[in-house]
Amino acid sequence: MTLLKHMPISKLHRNCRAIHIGQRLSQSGVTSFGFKEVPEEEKTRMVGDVFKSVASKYDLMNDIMSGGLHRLWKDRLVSKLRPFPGMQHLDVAGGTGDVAFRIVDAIYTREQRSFRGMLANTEAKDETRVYVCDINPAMLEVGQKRALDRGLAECPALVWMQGDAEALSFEDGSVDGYTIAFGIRNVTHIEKALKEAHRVLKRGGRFLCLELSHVQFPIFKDMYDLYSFSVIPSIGELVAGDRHSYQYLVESIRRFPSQEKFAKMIADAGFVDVEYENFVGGVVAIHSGFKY
Amino acid sequence: MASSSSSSSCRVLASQAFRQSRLHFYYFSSVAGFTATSFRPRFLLASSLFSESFRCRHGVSSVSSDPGPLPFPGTYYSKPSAVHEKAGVYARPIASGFGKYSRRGISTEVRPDEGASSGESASSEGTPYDGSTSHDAQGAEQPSQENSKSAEGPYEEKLDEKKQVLRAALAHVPKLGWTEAAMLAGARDTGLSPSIVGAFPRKEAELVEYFMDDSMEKLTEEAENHKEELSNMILTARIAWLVRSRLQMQIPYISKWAQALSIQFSAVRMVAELSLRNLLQANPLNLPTTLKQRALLMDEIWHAAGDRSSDMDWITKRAILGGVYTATELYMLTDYSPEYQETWSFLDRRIKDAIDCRKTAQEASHLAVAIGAGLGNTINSFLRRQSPSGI
Repeated sequence: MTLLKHMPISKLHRNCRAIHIGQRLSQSGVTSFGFKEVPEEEKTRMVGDVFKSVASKYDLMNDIMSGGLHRLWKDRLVSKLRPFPGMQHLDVAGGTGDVAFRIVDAIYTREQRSFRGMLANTEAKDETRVYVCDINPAMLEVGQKRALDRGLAECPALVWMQGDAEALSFEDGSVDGYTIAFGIRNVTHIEKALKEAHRVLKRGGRFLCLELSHVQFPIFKDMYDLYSFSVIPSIGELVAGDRHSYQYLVESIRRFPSQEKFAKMIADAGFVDVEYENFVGGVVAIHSGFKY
Repeated sequence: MASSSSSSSCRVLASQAFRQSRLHFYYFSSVAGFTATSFRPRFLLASSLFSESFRCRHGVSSVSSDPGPLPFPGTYYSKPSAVHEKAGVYARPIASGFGKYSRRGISTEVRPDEGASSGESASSEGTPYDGSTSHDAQGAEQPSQENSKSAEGPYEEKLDEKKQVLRAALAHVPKLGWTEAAMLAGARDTGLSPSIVGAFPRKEAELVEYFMDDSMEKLTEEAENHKEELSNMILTARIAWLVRSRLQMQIPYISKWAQALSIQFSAVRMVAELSLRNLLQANPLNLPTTLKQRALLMDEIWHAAGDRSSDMDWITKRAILGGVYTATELYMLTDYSPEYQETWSFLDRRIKDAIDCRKTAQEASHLAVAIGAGLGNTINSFLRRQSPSGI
């Protein structure tokens, strides 16, 4: 493990050895934390520490790192979801409320357009619930503060709750939509989280996952690697005062399964009609699946 | 291995190209039919179409008094009565001159028994339609294996669920129109989460397409059920019966059918209006599917009517029927007569026009043969006179 830690990162993530080792170790109760191998029970705490330390600067950092593009990606995620009045939606790892606010906005503006009277019945609107679930109370606090700023603090549709993506406190078949934006990477057992998503969704419900993914194009890939391993940790140090958290961020992106592999994992969890859409050549991908 | 795969892909490409070229012809004829009937009356036919629909609106039903047929779009533009008279003039001498070419009635043109017997032989070899679909299936399989981004999953199940939603949504169409709202309501009815509407990327267009596909299946069934009856009819009656039973399936949705057409032909509308706003809106392009479906529908009708031709006629027949069908479909939108009597008489007149036109063309070709024969004789005798030795 110390060997992995001291190897030059650029070499390490290319030769994939770390990934093989990681897979072997994960059977013995060890999982990856960036390029490091840590005991499974440790990862949750360590990820928690990361987000606790960056929560206050999280949005600013997102804007700087993605050049503001993360807003467009989230817009796209919500437009793919096509929220409707009366929807029961669960947004996991959405502590800052970015996705939840967009969904609520989409439902309310659509409500105003009124759908020729059919969905204008107010009870459907009152039934709308967007559950924002995050394992980290610090992130939820940020989200609630932002809801206050947006005038959504009293909004009955927004429900803030702390919860683990691997063990949701929802009943089987209780939500219409499930989104997880930039979150599944930090979950210790991705398969477990996917199973859980499948469990809580209604038949016909949709699973959408927005996640930083893998770039395929050769030259762009090199540029992207240079940017993520040299520039992002420095920005993290400058802006958020935390280099290690952002080092973890870029490393965890490299450890995350490729688009195809992740799509396979989603299908294995029981979803059908699984597809994905790449953005900026694969820097980000939206995976989609349905439960029937 | 590589060469075999490349040759097979070449074959698939070629078959697709072949199919495409035929479909393009349909596309053209179908679009021509649509644009001609929807836009031409304002410029060229101010009298006929408008006067007819106007009359119907006021309920003065006059099925028997035919005000002269509407020029059938895509075939000819001159005044039809003049063409008819000319046809009659040409027809008589030919008919008298060539006994075997006597003016055959429409009824005997394709005899039912003849169609049936040739149909049996054709079906064993594979009609052009069957052939193209099997090629299509091959072509569709190969690329999907290569560049499909979807992960594996139980696809049959998925199709059923989606179809259920669409079927349930159709019940809401008369009230809500061809909208996403109807699809949401349909999903609620089937007990599925309305989120499933997200599985239809082209939204309400897929609802219209489902209806078109479903109706075509029903038409095929109906034609199968009424096989006996159909075989006793003459060709024109068979065609009219089939078109009519297909259009009758649209009656429940007639108040919203204009909307369905606008969804289907959104590209035509965009071009026609040349509106920048429409072009900029991310309107999905529904036209290719629409035209393909219509082409297949025309093929189905001819097939059910017992047509087994595979020559040039194959294309013209379907093109002409496409025009007749589209014109009648549009006429139906503004027909307020009881039981749509006006529409059915309009349909009968259109088919009569088409057959008349076809006969005119045939007779013209017979005339050409006659003239050719006459010329040949003259030249022959001239040559014989030049060389008395008889070489």
